[in-house]
Amino acid sequence: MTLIAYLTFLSIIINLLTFIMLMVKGLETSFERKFFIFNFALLCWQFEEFLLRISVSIDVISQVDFYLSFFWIFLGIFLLDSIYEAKLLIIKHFFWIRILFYSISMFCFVTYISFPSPRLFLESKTFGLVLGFREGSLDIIMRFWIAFVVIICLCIIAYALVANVVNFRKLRLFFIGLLIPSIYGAVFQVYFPYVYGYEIPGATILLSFFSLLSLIIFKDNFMFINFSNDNFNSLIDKINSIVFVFDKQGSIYHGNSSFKTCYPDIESIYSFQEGSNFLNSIAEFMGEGDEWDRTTMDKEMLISEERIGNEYFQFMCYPIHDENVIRGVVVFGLNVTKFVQARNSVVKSFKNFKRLNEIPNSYFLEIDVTTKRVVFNDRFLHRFMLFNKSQYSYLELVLYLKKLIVKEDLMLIIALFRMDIDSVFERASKKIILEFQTPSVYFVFEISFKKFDPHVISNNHLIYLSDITDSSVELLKNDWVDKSTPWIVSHVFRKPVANIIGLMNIVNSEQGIFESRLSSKEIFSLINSEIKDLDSKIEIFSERNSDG
Amino acid sequence: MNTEIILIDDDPVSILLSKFLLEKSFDSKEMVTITSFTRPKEGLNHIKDLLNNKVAGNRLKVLLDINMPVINGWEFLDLLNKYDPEKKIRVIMHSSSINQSDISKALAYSRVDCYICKPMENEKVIRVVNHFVKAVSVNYTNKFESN
Repeated sequence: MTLIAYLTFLSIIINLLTFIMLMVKGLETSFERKFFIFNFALLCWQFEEFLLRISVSIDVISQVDFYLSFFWIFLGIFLLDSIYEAKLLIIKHFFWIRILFYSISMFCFVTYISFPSPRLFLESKTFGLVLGFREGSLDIIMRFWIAFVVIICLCIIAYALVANVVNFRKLRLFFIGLLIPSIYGAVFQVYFPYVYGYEIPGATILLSFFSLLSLIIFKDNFMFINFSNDNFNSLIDKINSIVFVFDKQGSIYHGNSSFKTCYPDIESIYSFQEGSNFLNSIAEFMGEGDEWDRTTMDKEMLISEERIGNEYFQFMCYPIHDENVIRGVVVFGLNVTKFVQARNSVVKSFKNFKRLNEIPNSYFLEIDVTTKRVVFNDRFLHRFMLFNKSQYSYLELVLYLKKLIVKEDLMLIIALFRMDIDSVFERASKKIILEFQTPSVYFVFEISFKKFDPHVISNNHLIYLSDITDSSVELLKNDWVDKSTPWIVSHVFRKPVANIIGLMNIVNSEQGIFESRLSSKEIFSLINSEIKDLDSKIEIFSERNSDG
Repeated sequence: MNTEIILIDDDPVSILLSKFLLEKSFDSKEMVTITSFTRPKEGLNHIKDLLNNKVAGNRLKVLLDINMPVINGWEFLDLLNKYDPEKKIRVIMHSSSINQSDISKALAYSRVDCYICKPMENEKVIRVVNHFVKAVSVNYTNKFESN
């Protein structure tokens, strides 16, 4: 075998390799399917070329040429279809243009197979057998037609490169990969047959390299090519928010005008000087081989807050997935500067509000609904030393309260934690009274619930707790009306009387007033309050008796 | 030996009177501290802290009211047994009640040395001082000091 025979064989191996890679990928996109057909046509052509290089009879080659070689007629049109599927150029009414191109190719095909004369095979000193013409057929016109279609393909890629419609750095390589076999083919497959009547082999070898190169170039990029058409770009350029798309390597495939304003001349997300907080959040799906649950992946979104210059953005990162495999991310960055300013203002006001409202016996406690914890502030902890931790999980708090409050109150607390706690905070009027009683502790708290906007504070629930122990004790003091009359006389009526007598003893002695370090006015004021106390108790007592 | 008299009474006027009369009854030489609590639980916690700090129980004397909210004088006495089971802390009941059943009940407690009716007066103060501080023996058979 000659060197050219080995090279042809190698090109067949390369093409088969391309086939295998495409099959492994699964032919899921239109580009892949069209590219598969293109490679099949190329393989047929290569097969015939290979037969010419080895010692096979002319009759066999003629048969193969007659039944198989017509595929080369469609080679150009399949290539054009593949490149068009890469969305490098969007043309209106492309369907009709495609019909036109296919019609011309079909016309060539019909004339080719309907012409009965066999192809001429010429003997070359360098290459051995080479293909000549089929006398009288449209053979040479078909070659010009294919050359024309390939030039259109090159023009589309060149347009994408010049107009920068796609931020796809390997597109230049793709262009060169096609340009080389195209020039070779134009010279040795079109010009030579036209001038000398026979073609020089070798174009299939170059095309097989181009085929493999294309597959490698587009391996991970079919998804992103689709983001690069004019319609899409013009649409997202009108959005007054940052929009950009990047692949798993972090290469940015498209950024709209807002993106280019914020990040001029940046091609990778890892080159961002500002606004890169989202890198932390997307890390979880930027790893290799990540698979997402199909049922939830459409809902997944990661949010980060970014500051770029003096403006604030909320980045929402949506993974782009091909089946279950994540290919990259599309990011929408909303300008939330005004919102952040308003939020800061509210938070500042809220802090002031908390500071100003540090009124005696009133405390704000936070409930972190995300971590299910109750957070006690320092002021509360300092006042009520029975709580010795600044944070309690729901379970810890319930276990701790078990020894402080009665069973009914404990069940109420458990019910609050077990039910959707959000609904408790939604009810602005919801209040509970908790009585903490142990041999050494007695406190009564009134607890109300306040829900805050989650955008204002992260721990978005607050408990407003008032220490009402004193007022509760006062109520208990008046809880005497149901006692027996002797008890009331001894403990209720006689108490102010005894105080009045005691105070009068002081008043009756000038030395007593002096030693008491009280003025006579203050003592009389105390006597007066005791008399009023007695009077009110008598009134309550008489009302009870009249009711009875 | 320093003695601490602890007044437990929810009525501030009663505490004011008792404190005033007790303070003026002591000589300046006598090492007596008078503390008062309107919430019995706070008084109990105070006693507990003192005992935990190794203060001898017999140096603590309590002047205790009966009718108080949350925990009354009887409950206070029961709770005090937890911290001082040996009953070294002595108590004088000091109530407005002249009900014989209250007096009998008070004197039934072995910790209670005496029952004094309100209001606190000079003669009663002398008895309290003599009993608590000057360790004058008390006639336990007639612990009730009538009004």
